Amino acid sequence: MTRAGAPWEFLRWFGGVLIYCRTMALFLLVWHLAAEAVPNKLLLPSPLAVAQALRESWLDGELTANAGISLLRLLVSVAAAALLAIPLGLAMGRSKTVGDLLEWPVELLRPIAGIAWIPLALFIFGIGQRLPIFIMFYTAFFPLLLGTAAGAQSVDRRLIAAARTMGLSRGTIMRQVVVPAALPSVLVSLRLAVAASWTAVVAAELVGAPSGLGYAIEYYRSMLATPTVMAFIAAIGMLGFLTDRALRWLGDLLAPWARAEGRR
Amino acid sequence: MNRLALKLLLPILLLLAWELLASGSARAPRPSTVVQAAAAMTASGDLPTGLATSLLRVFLGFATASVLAVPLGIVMGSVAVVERNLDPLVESFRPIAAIALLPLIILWLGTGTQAAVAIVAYAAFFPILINTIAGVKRIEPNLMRAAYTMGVGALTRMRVVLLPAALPAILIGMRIGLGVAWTAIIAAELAVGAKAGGQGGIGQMMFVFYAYSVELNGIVVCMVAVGIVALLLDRSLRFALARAVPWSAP
Amino acid sequence: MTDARMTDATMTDAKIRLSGIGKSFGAPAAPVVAVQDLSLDIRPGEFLTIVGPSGCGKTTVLNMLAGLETPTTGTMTLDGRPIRGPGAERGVMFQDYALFPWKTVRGNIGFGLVHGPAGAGLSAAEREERVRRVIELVGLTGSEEKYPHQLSGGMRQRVALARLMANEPQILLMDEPLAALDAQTRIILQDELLRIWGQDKPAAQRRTVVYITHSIDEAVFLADRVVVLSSHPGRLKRIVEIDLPRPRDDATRLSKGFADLCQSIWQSIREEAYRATMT
Ligand SMILES: Nc1ncnc2c1ncn2[C@@H]1O[C@H](COP(=O)(O)OP(=O)(O)O)[C@@H](O)[C@H]1O
Ligand SMILES: [Mg+2]
Repeated sequence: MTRAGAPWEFLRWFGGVLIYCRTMALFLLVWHLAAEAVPNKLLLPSPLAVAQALRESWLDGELTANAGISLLRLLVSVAAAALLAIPLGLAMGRSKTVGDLLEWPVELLRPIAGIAWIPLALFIFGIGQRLPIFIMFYTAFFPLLLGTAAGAQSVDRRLIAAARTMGLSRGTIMRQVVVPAALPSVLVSLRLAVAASWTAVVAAELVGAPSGLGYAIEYYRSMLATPTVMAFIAAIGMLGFLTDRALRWLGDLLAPWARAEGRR
Repeated sequence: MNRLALKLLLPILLLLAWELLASGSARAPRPSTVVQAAAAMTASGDLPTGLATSLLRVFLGFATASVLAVPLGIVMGSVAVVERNLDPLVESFRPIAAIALLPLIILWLGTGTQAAVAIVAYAAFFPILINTIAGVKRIEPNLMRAAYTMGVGALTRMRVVLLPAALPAILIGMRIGLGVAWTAIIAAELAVGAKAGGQGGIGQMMFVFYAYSVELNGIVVCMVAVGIVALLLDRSLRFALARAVPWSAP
Repeated sequence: MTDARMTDATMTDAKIRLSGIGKSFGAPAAPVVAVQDLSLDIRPGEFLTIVGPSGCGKTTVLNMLAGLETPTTGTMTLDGRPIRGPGAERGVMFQDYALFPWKTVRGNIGFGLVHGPAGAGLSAAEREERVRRVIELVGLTGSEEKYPHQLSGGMRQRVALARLMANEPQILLMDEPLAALDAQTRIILQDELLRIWGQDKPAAQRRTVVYITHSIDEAVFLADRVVVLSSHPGRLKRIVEIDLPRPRDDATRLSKGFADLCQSIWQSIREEAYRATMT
C-alpha cells in the first residue's frame, strides 16, 4: 500500500489542502457577493461581519464560556451514558436472558426521540443544568447500548470456541475476546452517540437552558444580532467536527486493527 | 412461551410501578389517565391534526432533500474531481445540526411551513448524500466494466448498472434521513412554539401543553405518538428496502 | 489473385497484434511495472492461453485487450485497427464474474442483448430464444429466475460463461474463468468450453479465445498455443505450440504428449514460481 513513498503522500496531502482552500475561498466569495446584493444586513451579513463577530465573542470570552458549558454537558452526559450502556450492552449481547428482558423496554423507548422528552423534562427538572444533561444522556444511551450489544453478539463464535479450548474462564473470555472484538462496533456507536447528543444539546439549550451555545444563538437572534448568531452556528459546526475527529483518532488508537471501519 | 414472558416482564412491571407510584398525586400522569387523554385527543381531532401537520412537513422536506441529494451524490460518487472539490463544503456543513440553523431560518422564512420544510430538508440532506456517495463508490468496478465491454452506452450504464448497484445504500441513507428529519421537525416545532409563537404540529402541541395548559397527560400522549410515528416511518422504509432490493440475501 | 489480396491475407493472419506493449501503475515517480515489452500475434480462430504466476500481469494484459486499460507503451491492433476502448466484438468474462446482483440468471445472461448492441436487430422473441439456448448449453435450465447470491460458485461461473456466449462476440477474453471451481467441475467445464468453442468444427468457424489461467494442465489441455509469462515485470517468456490432436478428451489428459508438454512448461517457470512463493 505504501508503494508510492513519503514525498508522493505529502504532495497528495498538500494538494488536498489547496483544493480545500480554493473551495472555501470560492464559497466565502459567493457569500460575500450575495451579502452585498442583499440590502438588509440583518438578513444576510457578509462573512467579514461574521468573522468580526466571531472575533469579538472570542475576545470577550463569551464564545469560550458558552462552548465550554456545552462541551462539559456533552462530556458528562455521554460519559454517564457510556458507563451505563456499555456494560448493559455487553450483557445484552452475550446473554439471551438479559437480551430478552431488555428487548421490549428498549424497543418501546428508543423511537421516542430525546428531544421529545424536553417538555416533560422541563416539568421535572425546570430550566437549568439538569435538563440538557438528561436529554443528551438519553440521546446517547440507545446508540451506545445497541451498538455494544450488536458488537458483542456478532463476535465470531470460533474465536470464543478457540478461547474455550485453551481453557480460559468466562471472565477472561469476556475481557480478552468479547470486549476487544466488540470494541470497533462500540467506538463507531460512540461517534454516533456523540453526534446525536451534540444535536440534542443545541435543541435542549435553545428551549430550556440559561447558558450554552444553543442558548446563545437564540439569545442573539432575539437581539437581531445576525452576525453573532452565525458566528455561534459556525462554532457549533466546528466543535462538532473537531469532536468527531478526536473520537476517530481515539478509535484508531484503541482499535488500530479496525482502522478502515466506519470511515467518514 | 418462556421467552415471551421474559420479554413482557419488564414493560409490565414498569407500567404497574408507574401507575401505582403516580396514583398518589392528582396531576401526575399515569398509564390509565394517559390512555384516557389519548382517547379524548383523538376524538377531538387535535392529535390527528397535529400529527398530520408534522408529517406533511416531514414529507415535503424529505422529498426536497432526496431530489437534491441523490443526483448530487451520484455525481460526487462517480466523478472524483467533483467530489474532491465539493467535499470541503459537505464536511463544513454536515456537523452543523439542522436545529442550530433554526434562528437563521426563522429570520429568513418565518415560522410557517416553509421554514419547517427547510429545516427538515437540511437535516435529511446529509445522510442521504453521504450514503449515496459511499454507495456509488463501493460499486464493484467490474460491474460497470462488464456493461462497458458489452457495448452499453454511458447513460444506459448509469441507469441499468450504477443506479441499481447503489440503490441499497441510497435507501439506507433515506431511512436514516427520514429518522433524522422526524426528530428535527419535533425539535423545530418545540423551539418555535417556545420562542416565536408559531402554529401547528405535534411538537408545538407538546409545548402548549407544557407552557399554557399544564397538561402532563397530553405531553405523554404526544411523546408516545412521536415514538409510534418514528417506528412506523422506519419500518415502512425498511419494508421498501426489502421490496426494492430482492436480490440481496436477507 | 491480386497482390493487394495477398497483403490483405497476411494482415488478417493476426486477429490481434500486440507490439511492444507495456503497462505501469501508480505515481510516475515510482511506477509499478505490471507488463513490459510484450509482442504477440493472436491468430483468428485460435485458442490462446496465457499462464504465469500470480501477479505477473495476466489480468492487466486481458484488460488492455478488452480496452479497459490503456497501455503505457506500444500499440495494439484488432484486424489492423488500433484498439481504443471496449467494443462489443470482444466479450469479457471477468475473474470475479461481475454478475449483476439485482438481475436473475436470465436477466444477467440477456443483459447485453437488451442494453447493448449485441441484441440490435433481434426481436424480443429472438432474444429470448438466444438466452434460452445458452442457458441450456451451460446447463442452467431450471435456475433461470434465481439471483446470483442463491447460486453456488460453479453455477455463477456458468452464468458468466452463458452471458459471454449470449452476446456472440467474435473474440472471447476470459480471465481465470474456472479458477474458483473444484477439480471435478473444472474438468467437466473444460470439456464443455471446448465444445462450445467449436473444437469439432473446422478451424475457420471457431471464435478467437484468449484464456488466462494459472493452471498449466488447463492451459495445455485447452490451447492451440500457450503463452508463458514471467513476473515482475510481466514479460513474454515462451510460446509453446500445442499440437495435441483435437477433439481432445480424457484420453488427451492421460496421454504422454500432454504430460510432456506440461512438464516442459513447468520446467520453464518453476524457478520463478518458487521464488514467488518464498517472497
Ligand atoms: N490498478 C492497479 N493499480 C496498481 N497496481 C496494479 C493495478 N492492477 C494491477 N496492478 C499490479 O500489477 C501487477 C499485475 O497484476 P495482475 O495483472 O492483476 O496480475 P495477475 O492477473 O497475473 O495475477 C501486480 O503486481 C499488481 O499489484
Ligand atoms: Mg488476475
